[in-house]
Amino acid sequence: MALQDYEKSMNYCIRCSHCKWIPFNKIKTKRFSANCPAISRYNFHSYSGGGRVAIAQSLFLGRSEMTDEIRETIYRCQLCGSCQVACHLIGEICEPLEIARELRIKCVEDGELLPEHMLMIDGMRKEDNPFGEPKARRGDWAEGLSLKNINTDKADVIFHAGCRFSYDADLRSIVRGAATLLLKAGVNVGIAGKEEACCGGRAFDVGYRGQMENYADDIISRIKAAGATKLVTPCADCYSAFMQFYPMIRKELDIEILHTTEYFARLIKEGKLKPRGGSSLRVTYHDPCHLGRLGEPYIPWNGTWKKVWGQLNIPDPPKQVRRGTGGVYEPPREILRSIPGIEFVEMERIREYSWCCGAGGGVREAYEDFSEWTALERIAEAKAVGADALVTTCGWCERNFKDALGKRNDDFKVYDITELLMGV
Amino acid sequence: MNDEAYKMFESVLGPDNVSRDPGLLDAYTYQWLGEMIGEPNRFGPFRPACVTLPSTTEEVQAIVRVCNRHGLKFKAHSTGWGLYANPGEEGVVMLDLRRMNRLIEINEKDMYAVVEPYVIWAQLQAEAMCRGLNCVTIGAGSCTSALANCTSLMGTANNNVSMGYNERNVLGVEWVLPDGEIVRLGSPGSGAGWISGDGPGPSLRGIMRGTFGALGGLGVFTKCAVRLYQWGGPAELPSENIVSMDERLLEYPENARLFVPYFESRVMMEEALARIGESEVAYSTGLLERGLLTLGLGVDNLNSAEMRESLLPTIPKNFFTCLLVGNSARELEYQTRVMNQILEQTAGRRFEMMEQEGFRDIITLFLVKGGSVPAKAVFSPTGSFNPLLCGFFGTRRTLVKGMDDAEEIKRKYIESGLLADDMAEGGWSPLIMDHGHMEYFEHETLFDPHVPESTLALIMLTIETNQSLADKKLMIPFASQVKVARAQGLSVHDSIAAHMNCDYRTWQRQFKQAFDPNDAADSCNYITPKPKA
Repeated sequence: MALQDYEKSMNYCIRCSHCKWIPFNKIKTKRFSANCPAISRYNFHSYSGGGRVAIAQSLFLGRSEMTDEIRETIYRCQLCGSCQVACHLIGEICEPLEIARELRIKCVEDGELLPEHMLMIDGMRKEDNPFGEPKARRGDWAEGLSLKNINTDKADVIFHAGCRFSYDADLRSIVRGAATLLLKAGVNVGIAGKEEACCGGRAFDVGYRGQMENYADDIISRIKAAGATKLVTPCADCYSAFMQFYPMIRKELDIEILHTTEYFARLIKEGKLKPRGGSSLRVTYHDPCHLGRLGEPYIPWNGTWKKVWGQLNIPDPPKQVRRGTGGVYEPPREILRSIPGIEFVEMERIREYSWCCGAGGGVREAYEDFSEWTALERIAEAKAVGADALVTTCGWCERNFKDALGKRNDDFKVYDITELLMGV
Repeated sequence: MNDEAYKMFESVLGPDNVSRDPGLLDAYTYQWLGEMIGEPNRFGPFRPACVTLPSTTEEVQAIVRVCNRHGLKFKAHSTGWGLYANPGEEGVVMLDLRRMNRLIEINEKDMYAVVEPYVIWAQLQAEAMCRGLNCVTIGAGSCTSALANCTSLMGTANNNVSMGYNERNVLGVEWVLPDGEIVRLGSPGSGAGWISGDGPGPSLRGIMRGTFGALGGLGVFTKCAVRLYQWGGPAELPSENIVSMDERLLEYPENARLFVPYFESRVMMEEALARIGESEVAYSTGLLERGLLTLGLGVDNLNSAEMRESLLPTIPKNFFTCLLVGNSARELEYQTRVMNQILEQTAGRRFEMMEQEGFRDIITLFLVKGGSVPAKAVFSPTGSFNPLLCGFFGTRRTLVKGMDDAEEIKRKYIESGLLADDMAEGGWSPLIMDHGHMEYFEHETLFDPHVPESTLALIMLTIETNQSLADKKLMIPFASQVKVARAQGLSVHDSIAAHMNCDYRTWQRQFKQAFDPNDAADSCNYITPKPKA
């Protein structure tokens, strides 16, 4: 796809500003009614989903040219997709999220790059991870766990740790805990260890489509060789790449893809996993964008729009309307409700209309203050419902929340759901 | 634009809150119905000179004064939806009031809220409901500015029947006049709080707002008080699912009841509505004619196409929805008895399918909150719409005339295939205002902005409908006419006044000249200080 493929879509924004709010019937307070970090922080309409559509069409039609200000606008966005969820409650042709992503691909093609993103891509090219950490140490997290090596052994389940969990020492207990829980449940699980590579989702998000295509090919060949039936990942980013991005670029993983929360919830139902629980704790749950709305399976479409009933536009063949409703929302909640001692309360912005943690879309790398501001907004929401801790299921979210809190010497607790399952 | 003026904007607002980048400005040029006045896309013909983001009344005042000093025109918008928000000529300075988003006060005792321009109806309503209060959320949607609707632009609502029209619900107002002077209307003008729009202090509501509003042609409104009303329903209406047709209330409010009556004729329907208004039992009334309902409310357009095919024939033609909300079970029973009696007297029957779970929940949410349903219904099918008869306020018996007239004229345009085929039954309306002394109707017309012939058909239909109303000595609907007037390069009031009993433009121009001596406020949707050549 390219910007010209969205020529029709770009003409169907109605400039209504639904893209700036959570669904109206879900608003409980003014304080937590916004859905888009970018417009909330930078205020010019150009920062909203609709504004990005206008920028894209303006560039496409040659009405304006790329400037520093427009490049900043394009990249100051987590691509969290909340704009598109809201937009698709009232329409289906305009696709603000896909258009925002195409703007970045255009930027990369035109050499309009951000140095921070180039550094990340350089790390991927050299070491297969966005941090530039040594590839040889990617599997260190699993030391001593007796996990199978899928490069040499067969396993029913491939456990894909992802870059964040593989290299972030603070999060190591989570990824080790997740693997341990699977082993305890009797799952025949293996890892690729140092041969595991990045999913490429972060590269795609900042406009480097080709980089992700390479990683998709790598993973597809590894899955075929392993003969596994399931690919399980604790990383919401990787999950989203597998479920959404790969089908988007027509790369299909011929395997059941599960986030650890989905698999844990299944194992709990089957009685194979028993939540331990710990001290009593009132927690709230942060739906990661990449597990929720961006974890919705993507169904490729290559059709046309035709007219019925005069000017009614209908897709031929039928086309998925992406509203995030097919994301992973219940399994994490089922798990939380199953853990002894946990009192679970909801925040105001949840599920499809969850507020972003701030880490995505290359924002954490290039605009640290914006990323942090976004995280603090979410933490304020968690505190507002009286939670003792914020629980999430994404390493990137957790890292971003912890960094934002750490800078303020705030000891508000952030946990991965795996930690609670293990018994904090 | 003038560099000196731009630097002054930067010094007032900080460089992060002003821009003249062409690409960024195009985000302020792209607009719903831009296709009516410019190229066959949504960019209107006029890109602003720059965009400013003031955060206080003083900053607004400073921008306005700079504009006056440098001979620049300015135009302010709140949420900025619709052609009214865009500049009417080259070189206009935009004030995007997004940063003025404070809900300053909710006075529970005296039942009003004080808001800045970027507080939307959905926010105000959520905060009001949890305090046992409610407000008039207009049909344009929950996403629109409460202040803009109250001070600057008409908008009707399903719950006008119980809470009145917002022209009368605006209380105290803070107003930056086109020359930069700050005026506080009503009680704020004498430092007596926000509770009254008419004093002690200057009372200029008629000039400020009237029935339709000056649409930015008389300066910038920076704060206003909005009247709130008693709400007998629950503090929240929790629901599951986000897609309108799938949305379900977790619990139906115990003091609410939905009636969906239908009638043999529009005349009988109008009679029932009048009696409902007079009896003061309804919380909310709404028309969603079957053509619009089926085309607009499917889960997606494919589903809508199916509903248009299979559901429409099962829906009676002359029906409306009416929500009762009692403050107690006893009051709800009283309201129900009255409703039943009215239906008996007017031979109304109940359309049970829409009173049952499913439709009941969607319609109840729609009648209380609006939510996404109004925009979904009119935009999703074809990508754009424009209402015929938008602004058709009438006295008793004019409703049916307007409805019949619009339907008849529209039918032949539908036969051309250039508009969505709603069988010329695309009406949305609260139907009655206040307690029934006034009627209101608009006929949503769905066209495809990507098909120039479709846009042209919409324009021609609107012109023909308005001419027909004029010929019958009925009211010319201002908000429909303002867009076709702009498409034709005309001043809206110049195109309406000829059909009125007096040339009100004489007075209107004098107000404009008095309040805007330098002609600084963009009047493209209002009136120019002198007649156009």
